[in-house]
Amino acid sequence: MDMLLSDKEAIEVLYSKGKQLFFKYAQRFKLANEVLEDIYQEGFLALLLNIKSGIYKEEGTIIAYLIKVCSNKLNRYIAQQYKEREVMPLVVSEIARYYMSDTEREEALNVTVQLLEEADGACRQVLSLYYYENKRMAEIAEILQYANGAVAKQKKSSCLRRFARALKERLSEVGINWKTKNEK
Amino acid sequence: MKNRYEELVDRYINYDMTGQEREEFEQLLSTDPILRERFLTTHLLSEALHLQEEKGVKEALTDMDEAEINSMVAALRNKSKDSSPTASRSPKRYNIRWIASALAACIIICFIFYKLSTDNFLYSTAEVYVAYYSEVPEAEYSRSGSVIAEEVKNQNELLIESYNAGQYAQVVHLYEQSWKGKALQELPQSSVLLVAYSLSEANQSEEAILLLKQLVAARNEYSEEAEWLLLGAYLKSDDREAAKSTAQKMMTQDSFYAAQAGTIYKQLNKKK
Repeated sequence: MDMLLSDKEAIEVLYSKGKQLFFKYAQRFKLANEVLEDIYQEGFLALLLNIKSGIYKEEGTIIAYLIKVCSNKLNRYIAQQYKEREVMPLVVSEIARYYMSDTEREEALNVTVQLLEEADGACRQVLSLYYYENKRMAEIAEILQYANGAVAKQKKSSCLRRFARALKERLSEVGINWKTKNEK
Repeated sequence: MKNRYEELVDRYINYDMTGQEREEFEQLLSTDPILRERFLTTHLLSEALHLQEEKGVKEALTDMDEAEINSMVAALRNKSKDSSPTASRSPKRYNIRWIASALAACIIICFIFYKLSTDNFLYSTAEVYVAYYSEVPEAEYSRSGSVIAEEVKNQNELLIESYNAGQYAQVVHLYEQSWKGKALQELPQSSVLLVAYSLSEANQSEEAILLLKQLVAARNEYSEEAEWLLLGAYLKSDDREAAKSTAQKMMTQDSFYAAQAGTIYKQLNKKK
């Protein structure tokens, strides 16, 4: 089943998902919502302009780049307002890169994309709704017509478990095994 | 402990942790290889989903100039003003459910403990089942490419619907009506798990155990889940020795259920 969003929907989903993540990322700084709104708005616009002009080099996902851009803007705001530099928390993709070389990451990502294309439609849907669209379990249950949120949660867990198991096997075929590996 | 790693990783990826929790999680990543593996595979899955869905973003920008992009971003802000950015997933809602479940489990355990028989084990198999056995199988519709007859497909869908609605007696009825005594291959393997779980819930553990043993022996992608269900069926049928031996086998394998099986094994061996 094709679940890809239309172009316009893709931007809207990116906007709202990025906003949720950025607000959660920034909550420790206890800034007013209006301030965060302004920073996010500026960051989102910069992101789109960077994509349009080719400054964004496609080295990762757009959402990770967006959070990084907004994190930099937040840091600049704090420095200007309070005359101090904060140690900004790392964004998730930076932590992941700590454990993977660029080559390894690229290879692993190709394997993952391939496996995702082979995944059964129902699993792909539930994982996409959860990990991409950030839907709550009750919403997922409604969209996919499960009895309730608990069923959706179980389905998501089961799909994730199967996917992780298959991915682990595929990755070990290309010599990638993170369980036995320490950070680089 | 149910899906503890999964929950931790999800909360971390979604920035649902406090600053201190994030720091502790990042520290754990460097020392716990299982957590590290779960985190990296989930992160890769999330990245792969994003890469596919984000293709549309670049496409949409192709025909827009800077002024159009500016006005679109302004419009997005206005559109989202009414919706709180933190309105999505509220972990607190789930916390309440967890607390309620934990309390219910505690009450049941205390009650059973009070009624404890005179054997030397600290916990009965029923107590261990209630307190430590949590994973249940998920319904899975036939995968694309699998060849099954239309009649079987329809019966299977009916079975899945009943399972999803929690009508285990109906699942057992459908199984007895259409598949009992026939070769297991006629029923999609994922549904055999549902039948076995339903049989166990309907207090027909013996029949469930027979089915599950066949699935475990088949050594296919469902064998791991089948073994976990077999452990549950042994617990439900009060077969402590079989449960211990199954749990012991699982905890030494590189299985998804290894940690949970280990806990169950430990609890089954505790003496008064």
